[in-house]
Amino acid sequence: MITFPDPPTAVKKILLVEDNLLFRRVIEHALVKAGYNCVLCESADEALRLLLVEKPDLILSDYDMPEMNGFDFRQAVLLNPNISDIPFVFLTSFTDNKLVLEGLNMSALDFINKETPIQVIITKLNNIIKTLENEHVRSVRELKIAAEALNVKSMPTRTPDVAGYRISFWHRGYRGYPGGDFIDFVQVDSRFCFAFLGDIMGKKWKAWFFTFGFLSYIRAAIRFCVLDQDFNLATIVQKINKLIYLDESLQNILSSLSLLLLDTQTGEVHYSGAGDLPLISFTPANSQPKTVQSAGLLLGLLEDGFYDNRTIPMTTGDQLAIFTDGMIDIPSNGSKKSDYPFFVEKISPYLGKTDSFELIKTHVLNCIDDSNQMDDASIIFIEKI
Amino acid sequence: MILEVQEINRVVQATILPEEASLTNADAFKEEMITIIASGVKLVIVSFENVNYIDSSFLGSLVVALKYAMPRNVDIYLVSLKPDVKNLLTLIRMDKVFRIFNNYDEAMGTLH
Repeated sequence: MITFPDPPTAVKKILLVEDNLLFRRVIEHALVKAGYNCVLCESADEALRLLLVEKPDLILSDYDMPEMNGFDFRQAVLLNPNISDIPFVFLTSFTDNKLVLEGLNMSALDFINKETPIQVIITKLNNIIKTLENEHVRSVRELKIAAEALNVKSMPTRTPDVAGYRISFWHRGYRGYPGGDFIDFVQVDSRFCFAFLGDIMGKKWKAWFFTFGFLSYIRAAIRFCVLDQDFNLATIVQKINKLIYLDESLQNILSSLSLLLLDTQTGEVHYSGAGDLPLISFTPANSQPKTVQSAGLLLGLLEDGFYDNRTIPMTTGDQLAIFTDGMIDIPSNGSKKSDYPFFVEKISPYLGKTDSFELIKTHVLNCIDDSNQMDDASIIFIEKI
Repeated sequence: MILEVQEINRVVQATILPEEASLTNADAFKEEMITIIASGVKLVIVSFENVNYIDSSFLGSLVVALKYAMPRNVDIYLVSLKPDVKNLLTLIRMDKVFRIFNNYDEAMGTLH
């Protein structure tokens, strides 16, 4: 089930372009008081430079400014596809009907007279922002309905029953968007079950749209190899890699992959990885978990990705964690960092218990929320029982 | 601009300016890298001296730049990576496809 919560209602940033210092201060004061974050520019030129690095939620611009006027500024913004869709409002003392019409015809949302009482100006802006926000929520909801109608899922609905193993998984998309992580299980027969987890590089919809192409290739490659009775994981991953490498529509899209094969007869787990994070392996005999690193490169990077086979013999009580990089990204002193050892350290106290995964969920995974999540985060947890 | 660029004799030193190399600047970085690669240079040395954090979107752009560079016989070296960033790149085996050096001087030293 894909969850699409409303976007977090963060503080909105308004860019005010106004050459008059006094008016700039008055509007800034009112906007900040109304709960907005306000960025000020005294010329269109300065605003265009700022827009290269900042993306405000709304641009509020004067018309009459020296050098570049508001209309020329609007044209320049419209010509830059990176910023052309930022909502734009004119705020000016020029109220000539012809001028107002010309301004509105440049896809400006409103043309507000500076003589308007400040409270009315703020209310108008509030309404514009609220309307756009509702529009966004509605679009996301429509996409969700479309995705569900197509029955496209990048996460399985349940875990497979594999004799001798207990398998769990968990996923949380970046800020509730479905994102580019995918997990699936392919049960071949009563002896073999494949499990895989991947991460398309990128976030939100852009990554999510590609997950289905990747999933189809991976499922197909597994099925073809099974038909040929070839269970060599390095060969399977190389086949997937080659398909993706040669597919022109996926040329600029890369993905990691951890492919595992659970053998219920021998108790072994076979593993081959493509640019994925090392697995964490725990065995009760050693109190410290170990990492299992594979040699292969990201899918689609080179024609030959140097894929290898690892075999992890598992006996009762052994545990294995496979996860994507969203798990190791953490906020740190106001900035962000990736810290693999820190994640290993965080889950270590809960390994080797009868309810390890529940404990990890309660103490580690459930602490991930919009305020501290940096990327899609997914994990598969395999226990030998 | 994501990169501060200096070119000497078809070797480009490109310093990533933001501390956070992420979704917000990944596309711009990719475009700037591709422009540099297409301009006929032989080597781009990318410095991560300012970068504290790199996310998968930015890594994706870095790899796309490499895929664009390879058939054009342009090399990309990475230098001045902070320990966290270097660890991540090593964990996912990016050190196998990019040559990584401690700093510009060390990277330039390989050219003679």
